[in-house]
Amino acid sequence: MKIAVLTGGVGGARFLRGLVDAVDPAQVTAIVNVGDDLEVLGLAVSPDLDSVLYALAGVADEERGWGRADETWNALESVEALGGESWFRLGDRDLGVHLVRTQARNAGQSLSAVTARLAVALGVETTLLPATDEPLRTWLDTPNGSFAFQDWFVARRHRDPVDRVRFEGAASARPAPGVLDALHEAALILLAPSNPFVSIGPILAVERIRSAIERRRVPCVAVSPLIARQAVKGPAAVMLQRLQGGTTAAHVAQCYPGLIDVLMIDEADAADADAVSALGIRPLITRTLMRDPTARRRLAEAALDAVAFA
Amino acid sequence: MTAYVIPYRIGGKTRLGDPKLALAMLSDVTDAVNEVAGEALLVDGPGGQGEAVAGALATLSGPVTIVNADVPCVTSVELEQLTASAPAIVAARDGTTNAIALRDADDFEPLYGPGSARRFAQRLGATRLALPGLRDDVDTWEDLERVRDRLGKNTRRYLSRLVRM
Repeated sequence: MKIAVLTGGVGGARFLRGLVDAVDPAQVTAIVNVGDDLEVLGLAVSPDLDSVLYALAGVADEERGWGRADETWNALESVEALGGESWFRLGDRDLGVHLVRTQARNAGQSLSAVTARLAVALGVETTLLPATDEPLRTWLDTPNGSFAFQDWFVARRHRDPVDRVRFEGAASARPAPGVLDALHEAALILLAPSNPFVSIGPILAVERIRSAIERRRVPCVAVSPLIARQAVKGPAAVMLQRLQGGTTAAHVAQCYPGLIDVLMIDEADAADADAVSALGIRPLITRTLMRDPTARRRLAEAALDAVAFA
Repeated sequence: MTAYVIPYRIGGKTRLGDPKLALAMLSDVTDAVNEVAGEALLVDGPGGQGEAVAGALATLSGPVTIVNADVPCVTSVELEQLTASAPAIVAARDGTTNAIALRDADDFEPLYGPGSARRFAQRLGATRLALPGLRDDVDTWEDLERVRDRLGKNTRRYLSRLVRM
């Protein structure tokens, strides 16, 4: 019983942790956003792949929500003291991953190949795949100009309102090796509670991934990233308001037209359930806040139960 | 007295593509339950199986045995063994769960889906029983072929009619 999960970084990584507590980790394939990938200090950084990698390896910093636990910042402090580029927080342990990845990429290895190697090295049994091996970059058009994702999200603290999200390179991007197989072999497809525009959106911008999900023969379940019509973290609610016209669960469902069968929504959004049903999508009301390992495992279990019927 | 609950989705079992076959298999399960308990409670709902069962169990208390509707080889003896072993489960070959016996309806948690046998066994502290009639669920015509000699009378009769046609 294989499961394919489309996911972004932090929230998606937490959701995956819960999922692999509920099912055999080796049965799960994570198809991860690469629209946030960037070069920092000459290094190839894949923030969402790293968040998922660290979470599944059990080395993520749970409190901070990103990066590695027991992290130190000596290298970055040194860079800063030398007047180097220091806006993107690279920790010392974290740097090891970027160094290995950058060397592999420079030697001509694909992102998916080096990702697989890193996952094995960190003891991760779940298959981690970048959505594509080709350059696909998320750009935000705002009244203050157009910004690459991390420039907008980190450097400008996502304060500019977004008029449009673009995915540079998406038109020609092919799914990474293994992505379409994972979608075809899955008994269940899940969309993690990540931002629909900038986390799941770039994955679905790869045409062959989107069409594989449109033509699915198995259920696809999305988890809403909202609780009480607010984002748990990050700009999802602000973006939904501006780009989709509101922050109800139905507005989340409308981000995935023809792509999902079930939308899991929080108890605090139960009033929106009928509007979700009206879109032909079954709402499943549960607790979606992943405050601890038990809560995130239960969320995954509810997603699995949602599509089970003997 | 143990209550028997059978989750049954009308129009389900789409992989078999034959609702009458699904109904024949259900009849074999209800026959086996009727021999043991005299009545079976069928449950359905818009959502997942666990949700549907949880909804039904909310109105019950005391021991309960939940049996899927797609185990046409089940016997009343197996049901008695399962119920007597509560908390106990019977897993399907693919790691999902075909039957659950609980000491109390309140013990139930909605944990169906891929890999559910492991979750039910862990969470309920349940014994895993290897009862062949409860283990062999029928999702496909190949599954049906494999258990042909052990089918209950309703499924057997339905298949013999198909052959004659």
